[in-house]
Amino acid sequence: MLKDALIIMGKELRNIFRDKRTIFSTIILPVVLFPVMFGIIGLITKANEEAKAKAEYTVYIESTLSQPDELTKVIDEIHKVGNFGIVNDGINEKTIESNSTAVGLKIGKNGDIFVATVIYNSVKEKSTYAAQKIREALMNLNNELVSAELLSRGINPQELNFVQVNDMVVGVSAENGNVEEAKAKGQFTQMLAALVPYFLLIYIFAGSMGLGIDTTAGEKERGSLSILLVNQVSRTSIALGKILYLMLMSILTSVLNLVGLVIGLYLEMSFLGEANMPFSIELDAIGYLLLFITVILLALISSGIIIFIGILARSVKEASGYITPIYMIILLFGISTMQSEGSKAFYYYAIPFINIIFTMKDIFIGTFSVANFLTMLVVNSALVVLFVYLTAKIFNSEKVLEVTVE
Amino acid sequence: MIRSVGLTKKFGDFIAVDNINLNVNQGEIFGFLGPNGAGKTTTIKMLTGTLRPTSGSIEILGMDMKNRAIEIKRRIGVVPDEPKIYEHLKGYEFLEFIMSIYKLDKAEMKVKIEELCDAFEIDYLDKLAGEMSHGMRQKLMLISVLMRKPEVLFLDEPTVGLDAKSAKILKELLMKYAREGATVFMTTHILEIAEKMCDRVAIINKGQIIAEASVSDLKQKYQASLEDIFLALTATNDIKDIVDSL
Repeated sequence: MLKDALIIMGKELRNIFRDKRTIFSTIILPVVLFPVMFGIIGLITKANEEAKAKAEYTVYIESTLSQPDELTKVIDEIHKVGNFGIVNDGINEKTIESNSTAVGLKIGKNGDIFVATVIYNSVKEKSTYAAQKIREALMNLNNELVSAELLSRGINPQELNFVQVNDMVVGVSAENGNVEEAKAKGQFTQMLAALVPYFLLIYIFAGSMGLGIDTTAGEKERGSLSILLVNQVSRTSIALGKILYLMLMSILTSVLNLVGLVIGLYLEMSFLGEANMPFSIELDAIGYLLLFITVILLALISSGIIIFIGILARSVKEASGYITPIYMIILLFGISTMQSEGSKAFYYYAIPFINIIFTMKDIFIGTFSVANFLTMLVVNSALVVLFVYLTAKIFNSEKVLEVTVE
Repeated sequence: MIRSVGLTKKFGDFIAVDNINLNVNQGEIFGFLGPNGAGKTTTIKMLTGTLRPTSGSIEILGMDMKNRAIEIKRRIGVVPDEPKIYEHLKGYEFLEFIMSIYKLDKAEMKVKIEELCDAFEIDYLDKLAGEMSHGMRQKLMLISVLMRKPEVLFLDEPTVGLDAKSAKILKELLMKYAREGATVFMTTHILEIAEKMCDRVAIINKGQIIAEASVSDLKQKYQASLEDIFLALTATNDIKDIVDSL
């Protein structure tokens, strides 16, 4: 039976790799899409940041300060943080509302304390940026004034630190115990733990949908299923062959998507000036093996569900109609768990798809538990067997296969 | 070789095949004739294991189709009415696929395929099935079955789409196989083919067999050509009136 299933799988694979459109969408697009997408996002973000930094802003000042040199100090600090022109004629809120590079500053004093109100349009990015810079300037002024006051009282501001904080990172290795490198590596691993399970879940399922529907409902529509039915292959072999084919293709597309994702993330970080972030994760051989097993299971379940639904449907359109809501649910699983950490309560590992997400997170962040992994393995394996069994039953069912009879 | 008892197929309330009894002997070429929608294709699909009967039994080569379908399929060959070959496979790849399924010796099959390709003038095995015409795919389907030389052949409208030479070669080949002991069960609309080739024919109409005998016996009984007998039995002998009214 397995041999026949592998023959069917081989036929399906050959069929797929002949179609140029499928090769493009299955192999080329996943590797190219993320780097292009994230690269563009990175470039645009970088360009935006540079544009904001280079832009000329106007600060409209309404001052009630009695001493001219006080206002001069404020203006000097403002000049240090950016390209600001000063208009000391009062504030017109309508001007600030309409002009994206305008910001207002009401400054006065209450005793010895400067009281400042920053006026800006929070809808406009540049206005918000300018406001942030004005605040930064005012905080710098505050720090200077504090230092000066302390020094005037004979107190060295440096001596006012009573707590010194150092970081020590565990669980993440770094060259020469470099803390900053370890921190950055940990951050990167956290990011992967959030994104990779989500993306794998989405792309393994989404990557299988089109191919799975084509090899089931599509083949029914085209009438080529009948060739298999009249030949000496058992219908169970046909079911298994199609599931194996889809599993292989979904793993391939997910690996390619993953490669594209990692390259894309790295490109984006490079454009944003964070290329010094260590591009490595803390995963040993066992970790990779466990991850691989988890991905295989995910591919098998996704393939099993899609093949089962595809063969139930009478047409490609009907199959898409059945599978889309399931895809939406899976999307929801992915999104709702993205920010969660691993190592959840035991029952999470008994819920298909969710258990895969948390297992992957556990593997990435090192909170792996054998009990949880085995639970995930058993539950998902049982589900795969169930879908193979149900699919084989459907293949042997008259009602569904009659659709192919013209 | 081919036996059915009380073979019936219902689709909901519609009875497509109604209580058919068939008995085709070894070495016979059996013609299964009927107008459109009579139940020919449904019957052949039940006999080849694609459809399950609603009731009745099927025995092929002495084996019950219900319990030994795979064994039966190993020894029979089926040429469907529509040659739906996978579009992205080349001709030789499709034949290799069939060889793999049947665990055939590739060297031996290669010789057989070359002979059949010569006979049917097939020189396009390196073309994709999607690029072939209906007739080309039909010929490819035929040789994928004939190369195995199965003991029982089921052919549903085998000459549709074939050029005259290929149709003639197919007829001669089927008759040769029958002489060598193979059993041929075929449906056809072309009564001339049935008349020339078939040892016995059955005429089915509205799901029921309305006549079954050797061609010579039928002609002797009705004193008419097979075409006239067919038209008379299927109540379509008002053709002149139909044509005159148009």
